[in-house]
This record gives sequence, structure tokens and C-alpha cells, in this order.
Amino acid sequence: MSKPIDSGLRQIKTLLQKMGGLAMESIKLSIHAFNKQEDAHIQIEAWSNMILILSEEVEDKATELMALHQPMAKDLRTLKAYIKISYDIERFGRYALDISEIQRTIGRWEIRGAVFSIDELVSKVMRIVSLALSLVEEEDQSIIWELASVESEIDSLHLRGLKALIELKDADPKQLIAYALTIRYLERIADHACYIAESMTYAYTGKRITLR
Amino acid sequence: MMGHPYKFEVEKLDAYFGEKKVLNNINMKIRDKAVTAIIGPSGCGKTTLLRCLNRMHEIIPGARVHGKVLFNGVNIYDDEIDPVTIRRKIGMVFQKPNPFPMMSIYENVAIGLKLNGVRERKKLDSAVERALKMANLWDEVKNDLHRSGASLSGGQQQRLCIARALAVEPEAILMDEPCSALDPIATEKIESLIRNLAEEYAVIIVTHNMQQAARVSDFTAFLYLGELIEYGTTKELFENPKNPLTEKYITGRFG
Repeated sequence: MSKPIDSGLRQIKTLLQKMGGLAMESIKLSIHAFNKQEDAHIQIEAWSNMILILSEEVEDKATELMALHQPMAKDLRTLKAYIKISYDIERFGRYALDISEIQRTIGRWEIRGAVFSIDELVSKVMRIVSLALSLVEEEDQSIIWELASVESEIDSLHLRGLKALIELKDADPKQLIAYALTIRYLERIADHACYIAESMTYAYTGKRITLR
Repeated sequence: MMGHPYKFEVEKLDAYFGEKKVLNNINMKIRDKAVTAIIGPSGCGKTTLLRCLNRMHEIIPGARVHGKVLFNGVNIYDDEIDPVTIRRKIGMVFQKPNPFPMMSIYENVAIGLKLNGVRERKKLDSAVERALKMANLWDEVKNDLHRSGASLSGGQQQRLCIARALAVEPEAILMDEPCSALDPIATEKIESLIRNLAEEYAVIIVTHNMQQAARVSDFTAFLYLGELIEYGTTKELFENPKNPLTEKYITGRFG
């Protein structure tokens, strides 16, 4: 049986999906621009601002639902999760923006010595973000286990990346800083993807899990 | 000696109206100095359960009870227990404020004591003042104690009824939808009063208003078709109910 609050929850979910789509595009573009040392800051900043506006809409709608419908049980948990997730997606956008600002802040860097690639890390991060957003879409406990496994791989890649950077011979210091910051931001994006999965698991099942 | 950990222990309680069984095998322990809310759809047995806790169910012709209700560890349905004494120890506040219309505010509060043989004016005065203060009504009526109880507003009348229940120094208070006939301001006053009363008494409240149960109670019991479906802390029951029936009821997805 559907209730008036259901349509409000659906509206928030749609807002979160829009935010998630923009965040995915922002991360992709920031990495593309980073690899090519191109400036995509204006576009990513515009998307980041749009994400922020949508997150304010989520907050307003959630407040309205709480005031008018006084949700309980799963409705309450879902609403609580949506508010937290809106912040997590906002962080995706913000980290993409941070990546796009690196080159603006420190200038272009030279690629010297051994090639250092973040492709594998990027691909895992895109995967974990996509898994987290699909959990917002619908309940699927099997996703949780894949997500936990990808998170663990990301942590290893992050650490391995830092060690590899330390060992890079004759590297441009700007390159070291740029890569260290970027892999750190990517690792933080993955953390927020885990928070999303934790929030949605609590919303769906009432059980609290920790993936990190 | 340690006090009894639970004020009430309901064991295998069945209640009937004639042949119709309205409560089925209820088992629950109710803590002292806490508010316990009983929620559930109309006809689920909430009020019957409440009335079983102070032997008021049996007043209805054809009504009967099987099982035990331990109050301070003693079964109130034992043969040697006087139901009138039990009803004095376990006060009841009803849905509709029911002050005695021909009596003054003072008389409404003092009547229970007088029926219990208290005649000394000083004792009555101090008991009336204490009860009205506990019911958060004293400041509003102290200069007008001889006015008719029926002349008070609905919310004041309900607090007067609570003062009447408190005057005989009960050990627990049962409330059957005490705010259903009141506006939000009067409701807020009764809800604050309920929280204050829980510092001294076991308060058990039947309510249709789930937000009210969530606001005032420490523990909540959900009844459905005469069965106790779920009972636990209010926070847990409203945020994370264990039983799908509770989930459906509190999110309004019944039917």
C-alpha cells in the first residue's frame, strides 16, 4: 500500500540520482583533465555547484517530509540515509573539483623517469561509486560484498601508489604532489561510497554495518 | 532489600468479553518510573489490557480474565486481593475528562481521600495542594478552588482528573488516550506532566497517536488482534521495528 510520504521519498531519490550522475561525470572529467594536464575547472565547478543546489533541495524536501509526515521505521531510516548520502555525493563533486584545482594551484608538471599510472585506481573508484549509487536505486545485498572487496583493493592501491611515488627517481616534485593529492582524493571518494552503502544498508535492513 | 525490578509482570494473560477472546497470551514486564505506551489499531485490545492492569476489566458484565498480573510481585487476581484496594493503588485517567460536575475543584481532588476515610481538614488541604501541584494545575486554580470542576477548560479538567488520581497516592498511573479530546497546547501540558510523573510512578498510556507515544514513552508495546506483537524501547520500536507487522502499522501501510 502506497502512502503520501512515498512520493516525497521518490522525489528525493530522483534528486540523489541526478546528483550522482553529475558527480560521476565530474570525477571522470577531473581525471581525464588531470591525465592530460588540461584545465576543466570551470566545468567541474559548475557541476559541483549544481550538486550543491540539488543537495539543498534534498535537505528542504527531507525537512518538509519530516514536518508533514512524521516518518517512522523504514521511512525514517531512509530519510535519514538520504540526508547523509546527499552530503556524501556532494563530497564526490568537491573532491573532483579539488583534483581539477591541483594543476591551477601548482602549475604544470613534467613527466620524468618511470611512468606512474592511476588508471587501475580510477577504474576501481568509478566502480565503487557506481555500486554505491546503485544501492540508492534499489536494495541488493550482494552489491555490499562486492563493494567491500573493491574498497579493500582501493586501500591497497592507495598505499601502493604512495610507496611507488616515494620510490620514483628524478621525478618532478610537482608531479609527486599532484599524484599524491589525486590518489588521496580518489581514496576519500571511495570512503564516501562506503558511507553511502552503510547508510542504505541501515535504511533497508535496520542493521548497522561498517565497510571500512 | 532491593525493590522489585518490574512494577507489573503480565503472565499468560487472556481476556474475554463473554465467549469472545480479546487478549491472547499476553506476556510483558513493565518497569517502574518509566512511561510505557500501548499502541495498535482500534479493537486490538489496548484498552482491555490497560483495564486488566487494575482489575477494571471485570467490572464489565460477562468480562473475565485468565492468567496473572503481578503488581510489585503479587498477583492482583489472587482470591484474597481486594480489587478496590488495587484500583486505589493503580490510578486510571480516562479518554474524556470526567470531573464530578457538581463538585468544586477542591472536592474533586479530595473525594478519593474522603472515601478512604480521611476527614482532617489540614490533611485534606495539604493533599489537595500536593496533587494539584503534581498535576501542574495548582497555579491556575489556587485562588479559585471552590469553583466547579466542570467550569475548567478541557485540558484543565484532564489535569484535574490526574490530580484526583494522584491524591490517593497511587503507585502506578494508567492513562487511556488522555489527550484525544484536547487541543495541542493542552496536549503538550499533559505530555510534560506524563514525563514528570514518570520520575515517581510507572505510567502506562494507551494512545492512538504514535507521535505522542514516541514523544512521551520509554517503552512501547504494539498490539494487534489481541496479541502482543512487539515490545521494546520506544526508540528501537519506532526507528527499527523487528516485526514486519509493527513496521507496516507505524508507517501507515496497514490494510
